[in-house]
Amino acid sequence: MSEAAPSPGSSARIAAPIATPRAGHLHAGLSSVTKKYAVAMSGLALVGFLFAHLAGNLLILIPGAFDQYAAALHASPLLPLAEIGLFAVFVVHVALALACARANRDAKPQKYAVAATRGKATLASRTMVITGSAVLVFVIVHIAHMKFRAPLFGNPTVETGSQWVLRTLAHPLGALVYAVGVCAVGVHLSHGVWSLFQTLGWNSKRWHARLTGISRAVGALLAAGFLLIVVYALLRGGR
Amino acid sequence: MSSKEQGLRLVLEVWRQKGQEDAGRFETYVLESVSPDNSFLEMLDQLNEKLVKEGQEPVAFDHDCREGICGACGCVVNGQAHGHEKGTTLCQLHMRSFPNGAKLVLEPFRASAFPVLRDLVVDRSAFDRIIQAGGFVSVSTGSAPDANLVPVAKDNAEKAMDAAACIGCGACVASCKNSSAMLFTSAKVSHLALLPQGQVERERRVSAMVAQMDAEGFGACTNTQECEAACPKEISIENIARMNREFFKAKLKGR
Amino acid sequence: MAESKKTGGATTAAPSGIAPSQAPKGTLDGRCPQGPIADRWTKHKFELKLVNPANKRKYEVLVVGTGLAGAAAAASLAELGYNVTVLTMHDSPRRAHSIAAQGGINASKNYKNDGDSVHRLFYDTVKGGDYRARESNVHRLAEVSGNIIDQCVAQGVPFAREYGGYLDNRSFGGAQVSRTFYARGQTGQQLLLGAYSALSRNVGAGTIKMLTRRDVLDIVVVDGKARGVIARNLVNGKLERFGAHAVLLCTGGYGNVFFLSTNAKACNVTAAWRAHRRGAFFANPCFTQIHPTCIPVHGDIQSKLTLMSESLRNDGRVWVPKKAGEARPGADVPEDERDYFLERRYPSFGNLVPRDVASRAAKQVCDEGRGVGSTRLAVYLDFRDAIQRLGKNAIAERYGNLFQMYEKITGDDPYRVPMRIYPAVHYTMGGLWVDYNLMSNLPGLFVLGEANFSDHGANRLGASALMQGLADGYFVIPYTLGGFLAAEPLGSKVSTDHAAFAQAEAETKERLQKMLSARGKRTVDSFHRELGMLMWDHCGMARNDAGLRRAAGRIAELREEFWKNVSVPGSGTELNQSLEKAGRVADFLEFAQTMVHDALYRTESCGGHFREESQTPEGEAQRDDQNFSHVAAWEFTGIGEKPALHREELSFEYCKPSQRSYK
Repeated sequence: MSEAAPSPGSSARIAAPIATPRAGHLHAGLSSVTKKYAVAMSGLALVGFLFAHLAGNLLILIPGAFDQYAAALHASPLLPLAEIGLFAVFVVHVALALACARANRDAKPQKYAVAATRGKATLASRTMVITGSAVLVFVIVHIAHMKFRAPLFGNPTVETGSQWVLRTLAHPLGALVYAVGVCAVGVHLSHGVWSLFQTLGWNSKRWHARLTGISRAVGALLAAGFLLIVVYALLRGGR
Repeated sequence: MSSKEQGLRLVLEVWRQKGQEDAGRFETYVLESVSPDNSFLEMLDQLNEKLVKEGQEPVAFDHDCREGICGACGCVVNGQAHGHEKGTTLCQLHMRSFPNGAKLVLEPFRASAFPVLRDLVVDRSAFDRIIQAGGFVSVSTGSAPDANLVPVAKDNAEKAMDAAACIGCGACVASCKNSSAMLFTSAKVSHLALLPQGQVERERRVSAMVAQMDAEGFGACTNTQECEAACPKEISIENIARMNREFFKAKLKGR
Repeated sequence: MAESKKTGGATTAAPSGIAPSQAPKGTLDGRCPQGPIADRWTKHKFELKLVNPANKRKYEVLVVGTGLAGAAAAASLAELGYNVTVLTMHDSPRRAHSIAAQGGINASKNYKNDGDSVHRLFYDTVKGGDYRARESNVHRLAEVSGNIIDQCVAQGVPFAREYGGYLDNRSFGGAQVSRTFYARGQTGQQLLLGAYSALSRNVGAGTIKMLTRRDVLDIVVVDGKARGVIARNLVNGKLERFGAHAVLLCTGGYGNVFFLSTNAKACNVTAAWRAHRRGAFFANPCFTQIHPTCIPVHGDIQSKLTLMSESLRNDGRVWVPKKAGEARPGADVPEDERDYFLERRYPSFGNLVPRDVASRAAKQVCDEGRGVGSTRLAVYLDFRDAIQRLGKNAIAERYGNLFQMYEKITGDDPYRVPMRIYPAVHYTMGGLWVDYNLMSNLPGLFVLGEANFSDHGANRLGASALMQGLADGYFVIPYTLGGFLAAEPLGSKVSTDHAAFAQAEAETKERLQKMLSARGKRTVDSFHRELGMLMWDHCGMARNDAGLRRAAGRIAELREEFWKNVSVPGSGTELNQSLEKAGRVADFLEFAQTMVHDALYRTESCGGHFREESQTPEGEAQRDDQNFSHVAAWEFTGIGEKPALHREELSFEYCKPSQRSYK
């Protein structure tokens, strides 16, 4: 039989986390909110990069402009620094998002027999890990192929950057990979942009609908912009 | 009203689990002549009366006030915490909102932080520990000044009340694919952050509560908004945004 | 339903001829301080001994229950430095039934400048209680009422406010002044969450040991003093012993003896009844409150009744059709065919007459066949005029959540059709007898909140239950417990190895085993339901000698059948909700007989206790001050045995008893 009363004189404890049998294993190190904040911040930076990236890439629609822009970019001594920075932001985004995803899976070890939502969750919001993973794979392929010129999609003998891009995108597999990749980016961002505002605390009842709209618009805009280049390449037949 | 006289026929698939160590399984029961005027819990009473009469053990489920305020009841009905009706606890859900012949799958709230004790009964003491970590104003009895000394803007009082309406039922955790307790925790953080009385401990509170929330094994928020949709008191996810703000203000100040 | 029209017309005079049928075994002293009423509490606080601050941690206090009284007491005592352990049957302390209180909490702040004062709140409460409460207690309650509001606001309770940011008040349930503070229709929830936060703060700081899912099944008494409890761990079924220097029962009321009530399902009399069986006196158990504004009963499988806050009566008008058997829907009945019977009978208080008066009036019109709805056991509460006058939005702002709740339960939209309401059991004024220090006749056993009998007399005013629970917990027990403990040697705590603990545990185990092994044919609920019907019919809104005697006989039979024929599946070593319920119903079956006995004994009508033999020519309750101006506290003498009577005489120096009139 238990004797319940605590021993006299047990001293007051300032609220540090109260130990529980299942404490602590999910969010070792950073708190869940900090991790989410870092994912949101890095996500915001990546969205900014994507806009710049799209703007640069759209120059391909103007004959000669793209190669000029590429040459100027590569001539900049800041480029390696920017690349390292971008890479770091990307790694933070992916690593912390995956850490959260893992904790989240452990937090719900048993799913419901009947899967149902109440209509608030969207396909995009429920599949952030899947679309994010797809984007990750795409980015690896994209960098291997565009930056390191891995001959993944046909003709390796080209002279200019714009030729490399257009021929790749006119290649059926290339077009498919890039189209799927940028669509994954679009779906990811259609929830991700709103989500980052919410996570950073920049949301309220008044702004909720507006931010949701902005988020979807950003996703659609970026996907459409990049797709435009694919379509352009296909129409041009790679020339 | 013929359906009223004859009542509904229901097929119930109910999660049965003897104790924490038991693996658990679904069992199927058919229940006849359920009055559409009955609440969901009264339907479960009817099932249990039947089971006891047949010499079987009744389905264990937590419940108490049966008027939607104590937060004790709740299970997942066909994949939805507290059933399908918006802003409604299980005890306030009435059988008139189900068709005759409906098949209902009843499961306990699922989360590693809410271990199943028996059948539909789960242990939600993690919520208490989150409150114990900081969900209060440290004012000892007797030390309060006159109640009207500090005016509170009506808007803020109303918003605080909106957040304070949380009944601690756990539907937010149950409905979240990550079993995140952000809505619950943020409702208390918001309630007190919106009032002048909560200012002194504002930063310490949010840090301590988030730390405890993590320590309990709740997942992180991925902003699917299902919690808000499932919440019987319709607590807004605006509170989660507010808590995120509060948290980083606290961290910037090193608390 | 018992007949309301009484036996012939000869009730013009007070029936003081009916002398109490039972001679008292002893008299009780409430140990109230003497002197001018406004100084008594101050004087008493000074006279109470203090416990040395260094010793406070060495005193162990057990608090049973975490409603307003329990949570407030536990937090306040822990802050003082006592070593506090808290037990609750719920999965969390926040579930206690205080959470369901809707309307508000009274305090004599006089923020509205409308003539309120401590003395007025005191006077209203004594009068509202039909002169069956102790003046000293009630005055203390009124004195600390303002401190409660201060404390709750400081905790962050989001009371309603005006645009200037200051606290709003409304008039409530029969009060002529606006002294009720409220948080939408969820005042109880917000006050309880405030007390729960104070409790939680101490749990987090390690100054309170909080144990949930523990059902207290017996009180351990050693040498006449309460020294601990036996509790069942509801998760694994283990019986646990808890010892302490003092035990505080904050376990609420016994309204569930009626099965259908507005109480939460788990509300029970067990801890109080077990204390009674161990020697604590049960006072005025027949004083039960029937709340006029509940959603009517709809069917046989109904498990509980839902209260609609009586704040609704501020704007809603109560009526029935003039014609018996009216078939048209309420909204279609023309104005001149409606009988606004409260406004007609009580022109000055109108729809705001106290609860007992409003309930009985509703019963009377239903007995005349003018009730509405499918069962004809309902009256209308109509917001048509208020919506016309103030607009739908104003009504929605005041009562939105109540309207929503009503619609959810009934399927009717009260913005369009009148609500249907009927009285239901809501609160119990009776409870364990306590003195001015809230200590029962068993030294060391303190009883707080609804579980005691002290402050509401024969009828409680609206918005006063929250006030009393918090007053007891925050502002009374921290002083009076110290007075008791200061005289208790530290070494007086009894080890849980003491024979009294072993015996209490063995008896509890045996009782549980007996229920489990009956293996009968009837479910626990079916016994409870039958008991409830019996109590409602014979010991409900109206009571008479013959009916009460019938009920007493039937209760005894039912109790006997229970032990032979109850079916409790499962075992005692697991989470077993049938066993939990069975224990509670077993105690209700014993308690009900004492309640009926008290109702039989008290041949007067007063407050919530309406004896048909004692009414005025207009059918109002007729008190008998000559014979019954006392508290009837009952001593346990055996199951089914006639309990022994102890009387505490009541004296009224400041509120002179008068026939209550709300005309």
